[in-house]
Amino acid sequence: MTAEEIFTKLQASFSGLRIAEAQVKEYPTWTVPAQSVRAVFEQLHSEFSFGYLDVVTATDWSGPVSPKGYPQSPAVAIGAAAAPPASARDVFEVVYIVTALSTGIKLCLRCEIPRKEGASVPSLYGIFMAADWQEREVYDMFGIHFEGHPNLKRILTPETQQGYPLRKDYEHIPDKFD
Amino acid sequence: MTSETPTALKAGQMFINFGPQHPSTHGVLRIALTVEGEVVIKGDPDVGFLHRGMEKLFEARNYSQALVLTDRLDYTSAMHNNLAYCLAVERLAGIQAPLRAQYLRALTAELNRIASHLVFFGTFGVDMGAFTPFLYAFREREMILDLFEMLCGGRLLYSYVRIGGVSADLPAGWTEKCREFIKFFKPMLKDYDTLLSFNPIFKSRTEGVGIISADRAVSWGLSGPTLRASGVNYDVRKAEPYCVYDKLDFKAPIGKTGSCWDRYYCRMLEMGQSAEIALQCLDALSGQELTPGEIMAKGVPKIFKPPAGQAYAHVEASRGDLGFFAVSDGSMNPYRMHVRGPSFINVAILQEILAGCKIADVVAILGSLDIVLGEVDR
Repeated sequence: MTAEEIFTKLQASFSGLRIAEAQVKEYPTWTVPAQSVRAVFEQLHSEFSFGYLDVVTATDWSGPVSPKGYPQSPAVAIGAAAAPPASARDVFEVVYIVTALSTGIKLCLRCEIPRKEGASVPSLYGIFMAADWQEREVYDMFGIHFEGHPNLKRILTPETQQGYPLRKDYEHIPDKFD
Repeated sequence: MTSETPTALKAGQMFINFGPQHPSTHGVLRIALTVEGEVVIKGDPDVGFLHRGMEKLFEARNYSQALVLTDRLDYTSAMHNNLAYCLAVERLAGIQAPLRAQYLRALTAELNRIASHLVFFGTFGVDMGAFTPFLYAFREREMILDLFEMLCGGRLLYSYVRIGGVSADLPAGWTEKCREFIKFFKPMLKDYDTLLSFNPIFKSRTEGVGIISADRAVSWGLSGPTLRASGVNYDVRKAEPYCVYDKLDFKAPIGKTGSCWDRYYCRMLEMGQSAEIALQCLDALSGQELTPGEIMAKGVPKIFKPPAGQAYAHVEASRGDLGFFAVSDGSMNPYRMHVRGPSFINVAILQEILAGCKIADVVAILGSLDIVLGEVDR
């Protein structure tokens, strides 16, 4: 079964599922509304044997990274294009890459959510155990909540960390190590 | 990183901090262990002590400057990191490296895989109380590092693979030296088997310990030898051939039970396969079809701006499926760069498999996963 056939079958039950305008190169890319993320993955897992979750990550689309996010002004300039790019908008985009090992099909699913405090998407914990730490990492870096994750706490940064480092507007607070 | 301390210990239970300053953790990993006598009740891996904010740093450098960051992820197999990063950026910008560069990439990647597995072989032996194999492993690894030094000047962090190709062609005398090494190395694998692989003490410490079933391995997203030891036939080089792997003849060794010994032995067999691949690459490189010196794609500017878009590329690194997810907004710097580090995902399964094992087996299980903390914490 090809990715297109799977898409047609899935779209029958999830009308919000769309083929993404901006594709991830070489891989079929779909967009999925936040409320049906878990259901779509459940069906992909049980019916189409997508059992291997490669990646859970996110992108903050609010514009170029703020130089204040770095301890000192980095030796390397942030770059000439300080103006927000055309793609800038107030959303977080959660990105999933999932594989069916039996057929070798790799899919990329994207989910846009409004960029605000307490932004959330359903957790994939339980369908894929690989989601456990990857979702914790996304939470740690972006502050996106994964509803239903049993152990959603910071993983790479210390508990004392203020703010979410990979947000574009993150500002570094000087500490004793600066 | 958490400061989790024992909560609700039952009578007869004890809380042990395994690491972060412990030689068997191969870096700075802390495992919070709750034990009852010799039996582990709960093991909770705690990571982040080596977190350097790599993904944030990528956003403040241009594409060529960011290459040196990738060396520092999994520092025992830097070639694979360079390669995966370059493949992702090349995909983003629509660049195709010349064939000669692709053979050079495959060749150096396989040599680096041998070097990386040799570190595993040596340190895993030390973890299990066998000190001698370590000396053999590092003797052979030194030869590979010498070859890399001759090729690109670096012994640990290479930045050899560049966007659009590689940084240098083979210097004079390199091919002969490399063939000499492989000729010397292949019989050594038999020595390793007699030294360690089939040693009764070693086998009884690792066989049947830390078993991961195929289902659980897939669900936890394990990759590399750790996944294949559980009997799952998934190798990125076979499933989605990059560079020239579709033209090369090799097998991906599969284990049966998914025990520590299987994971160990998969890596030993992989080294033999890597040596075969390296020989095939050397043959192709000295053949007539590939013009020496054609190692860079034409028209790659020094500072380049890939068009806005997203790309994902992944390679079979020494520790598993290493992926880079790159987002460009059309400017000089990557807008977002995510690293799928195989070690980070492999180490998470410790939560599940440590429960019920003996304290001494914790070291065996952790060692058999072969993690590098530079990649776990990024």
